[in-house]
Amino acid sequence: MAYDLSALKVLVVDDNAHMHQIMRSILGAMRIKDVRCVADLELALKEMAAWSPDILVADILIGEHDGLEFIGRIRNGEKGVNPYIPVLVLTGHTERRQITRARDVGVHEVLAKPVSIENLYRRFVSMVVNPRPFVRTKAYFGPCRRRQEKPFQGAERRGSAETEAELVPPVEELEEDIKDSQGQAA
Amino acid sequence: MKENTHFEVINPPNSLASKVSPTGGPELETIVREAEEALEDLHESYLTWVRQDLDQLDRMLKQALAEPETAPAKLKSIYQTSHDIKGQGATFEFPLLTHIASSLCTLLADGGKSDQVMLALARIHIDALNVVLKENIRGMGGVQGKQMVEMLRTAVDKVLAG
Repeated sequence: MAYDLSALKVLVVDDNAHMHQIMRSILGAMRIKDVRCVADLELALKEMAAWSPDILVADILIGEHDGLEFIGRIRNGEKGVNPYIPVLVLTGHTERRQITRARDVGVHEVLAKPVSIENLYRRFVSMVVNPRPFVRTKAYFGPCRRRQEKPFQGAERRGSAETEAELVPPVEELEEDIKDSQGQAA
Repeated sequence: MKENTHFEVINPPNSLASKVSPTGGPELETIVREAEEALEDLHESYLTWVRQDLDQLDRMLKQALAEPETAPAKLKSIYQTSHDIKGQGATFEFPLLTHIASSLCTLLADGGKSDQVMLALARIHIDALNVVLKENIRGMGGVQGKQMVEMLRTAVDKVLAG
């Protein structure tokens, strides 16, 4: 099945202007033309509020600034911004410490640079077609480990810590995804 | 149940589902082919970017050697630029640039000691990047390319361990 992604709006946050061109080329081939690229976090926040992108693609380091802290702000209810927006981190910073932080701030996907066209497409389709519920615990707010294809009964459920551990995505899962993407990078 | 064991599962409205039809889009192989063609159009531009990046690495390292007090700041800049090279080389058929730059990033990741050994090893990495670009070595450069990357990585491990 070939999904038509052409109506999606994508915001790319990366401090490297060449990455903007690379991403426009790849997203263009995916028929996504409504793409905005920024290299500054405050500008990114303004775009998030005013333009309401459907998917956010962000690097971990934006100049001297912390892209993950920025994502954390979005998840924590930055005014006027959709806290549930699907977030894909695209980065060369794939050390475990950074991947753990990415998980903790509630990203959906992590891909390693150099970007693999195939993996980028698959992750986009996954975020759209199999959206994840969100889970809020004392220490975590972000996508649930489970996919929505096995929905919970009712809009909301509360439970015990034993189940909580099963809901927060493990760092190892993201690391495995990164290894896969590094193997297939363009 | 203890209060700190509570969690909440939320099913946010899926606004994307209404925007994406399961049919009508291009097949993956079409996307890959067209993306590669679009990236090929950027190839000449890439050669200019990466040339500028390598010149910058060269300049920064020379400054770090000439003015040791500036070395930590210069090495930080070198790290950032080599990160860009790492993240883009393979996209433009230069995976060897990605691998060498990755090794340089590992060397400088924690700020580095900025001593003579580290600076000398950074020099070797930058020279290697320049050779790959000058000789237009696409792909991994065969056995020699792989051996060079292994040697660089081994040297980096030794310097970081020492």
